[in-house]
Amino acid sequence: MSEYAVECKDIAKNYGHIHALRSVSLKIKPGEIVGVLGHNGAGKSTFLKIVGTQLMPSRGTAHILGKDVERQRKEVRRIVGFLGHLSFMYDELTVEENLQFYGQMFEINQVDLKNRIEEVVDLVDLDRYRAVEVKKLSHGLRKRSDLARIFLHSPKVIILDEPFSGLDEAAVKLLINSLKSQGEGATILLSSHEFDLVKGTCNRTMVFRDGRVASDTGGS
Amino acid sequence: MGLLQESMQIARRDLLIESRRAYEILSTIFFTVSAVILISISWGAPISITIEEGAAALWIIIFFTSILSFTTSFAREMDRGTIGGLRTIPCTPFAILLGKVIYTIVLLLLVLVVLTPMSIVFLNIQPTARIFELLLVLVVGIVNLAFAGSVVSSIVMYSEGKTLLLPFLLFPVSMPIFVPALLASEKVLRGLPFTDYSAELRLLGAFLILVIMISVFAFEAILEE
Repeated sequence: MSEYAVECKDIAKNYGHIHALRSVSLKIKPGEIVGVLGHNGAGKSTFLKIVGTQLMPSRGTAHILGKDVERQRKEVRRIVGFLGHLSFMYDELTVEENLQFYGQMFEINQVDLKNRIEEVVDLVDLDRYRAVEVKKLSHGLRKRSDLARIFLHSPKVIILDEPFSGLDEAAVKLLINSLKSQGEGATILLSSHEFDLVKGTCNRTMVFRDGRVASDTGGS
Repeated sequence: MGLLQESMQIARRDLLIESRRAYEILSTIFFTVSAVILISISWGAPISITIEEGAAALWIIIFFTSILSFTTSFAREMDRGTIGGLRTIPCTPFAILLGKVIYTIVLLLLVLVVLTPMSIVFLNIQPTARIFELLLVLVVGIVNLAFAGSVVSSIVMYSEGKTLLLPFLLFPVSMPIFVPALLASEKVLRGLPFTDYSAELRLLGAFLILVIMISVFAFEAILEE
């Protein structure tokens, strides 16, 4: 197994002539909680999407715990939990049905899955809403249900793209607490515009500017 | 988990979603019923409709009904952002396509359940004309259409004009399905023996293998943008 949870070498992403990510090389050790900061269009979402196997880089390589995000996508997805801007939960299904589907796709056996769903739903304080269709949930509750989804398979690397957006103070606190308890030992990468919130939560911060890492502080 | 199991999970989820949106299934059924009745009235069926017209009517209805299901297949995942969820699960990309194909086949078979008896009543399609052989041809055609349509649906999902692009691309792609399926249906309805339409079925089989081979190699690139 690799020494690093995330290792990127010269990754870039272009959309035609637009350079969303120019050249990013970095190493993140297991257990680090990394805040990815930057203005809109700085490249932080593109970077997180590449390490979360949502996007393929135009150039360079990225490895998650030694596994190549391009060539070993399936293996990478087993160890990564990705929370995007948009919810990945299905509107017409209940929270529990959504979690059942994702759990089955992660090959969690039926008995363990039942217990695991109970655990994660309890953790994000969604117990009262487990039988409610996702379309009936508020933005904050929906985000919590997505958080339950990523915790289901106990990922070793958790990637959160703007997890605090649209959440009130109590919801942010709940999210941070659930990350601390469920994500213990896991490597966490989270992007945000909220500098103070990231500073208080993360032990390392990276600032993205114009598709590059402009500063990297607090790394081990 | 094997390929088929992964696909079945995806198809089961899609069917569960569809069952919660019953109005969409009902609109497809209503489209089928109204199309049969309209054709019947327009062509003066069942008295004056020929076998060729009856077979053509069947396949025209199946083709247009399939477009209704393809417009929601991948497009809905894209519009709602849940396509990202499919990119988080550790399964073979082809399993996702196969799941969508199975889901479409189930929906089109449901249409067939309504269409077949209605065609007997309104389109002069005689039950004595070997109904099981006709069903075999219809099912083979539907499986082909579901595969080709799902691939087209996945290709156009990133486009803003997908509702225009889908029928535009599906039309030429479905021709190698439509023509032999139509000819085979006609021959069955005429009461010709299997050997007379086995060439059309072989053609459909060959096209299906071609579409599967292309999608096995190409779908990963389509899904991952």
